[in-house]
Amino acid sequence: MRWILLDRFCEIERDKRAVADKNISLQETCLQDQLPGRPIYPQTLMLEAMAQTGGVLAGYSMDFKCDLFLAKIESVVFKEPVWAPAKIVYTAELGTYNDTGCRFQAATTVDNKQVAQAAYLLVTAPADITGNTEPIVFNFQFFKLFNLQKLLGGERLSK
Amino acid sequence: MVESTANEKADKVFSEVRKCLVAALGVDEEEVKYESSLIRDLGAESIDFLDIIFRLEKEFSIKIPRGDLFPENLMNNPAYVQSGKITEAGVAELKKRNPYADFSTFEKDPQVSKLQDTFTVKMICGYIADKIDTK
Repeated sequence: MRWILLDRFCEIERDKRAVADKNISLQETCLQDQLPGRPIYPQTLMLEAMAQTGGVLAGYSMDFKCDLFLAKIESVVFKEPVWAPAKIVYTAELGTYNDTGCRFQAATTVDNKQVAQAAYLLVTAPADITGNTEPIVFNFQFFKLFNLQKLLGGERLSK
Repeated sequence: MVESTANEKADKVFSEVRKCLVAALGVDEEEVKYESSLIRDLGAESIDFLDIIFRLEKEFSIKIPRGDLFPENLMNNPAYVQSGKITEAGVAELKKRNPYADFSTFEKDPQVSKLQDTFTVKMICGYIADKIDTK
């Protein structure tokens, strides 16, 4: 789960929005070698974290029936650098979706100030296309990590 | 008078479709012509089709069912594709599924690789105009 960039989900409302956060300390490995002496959290990681927040929201809205993959970053703006240590809050708002994919908007805030915003397109990948019988993104370990089991139906909880 | 109203409607549909394509494909407005092919002329890739559909749905407040605008599941049917070409039955099926596309040029040399040329701005405008009428 190395590339899970969120600590927890604070809110998640089907078809609407999700809020997740991440506390970054000066010990983050990504801060050691990006800009030595300047602990600025990498923008690319915020971009991925916003995608993860929106991806879980979209997955939940689609009943986690298939995995979702990032297809397009339609726009992105980084307004300010984020200096560690900091608590980063990611918010995603779901736009249109169907069984082939979804669009959503996301924002990154620190101390209630928006520091980045982006718009994404995700596509679905049914298990028969990926060749996996089990979901490779929305699997049981994933839900356990975020304590999101309550979002799952009883059948998948038993696994 | 009736013709003038129809033209106005067609112009309005084209203008809104163009707006969606400019946003989805990152092209300039002037590049989007009525006869433009989405892939050959505007550089669209398969992933862009989903983006285009979402934008059209939002812009025109309509629902576009899967496979309705861009036909799916034809290429893996041996009755429709043989030796890299679309069969007569395949072309007939394409026309049935997508009456808004112009297949007259494609029919002369129905290579699978050329099918994408039939996905044009005109095709989208025709589909949307009908969809709005039946809304």
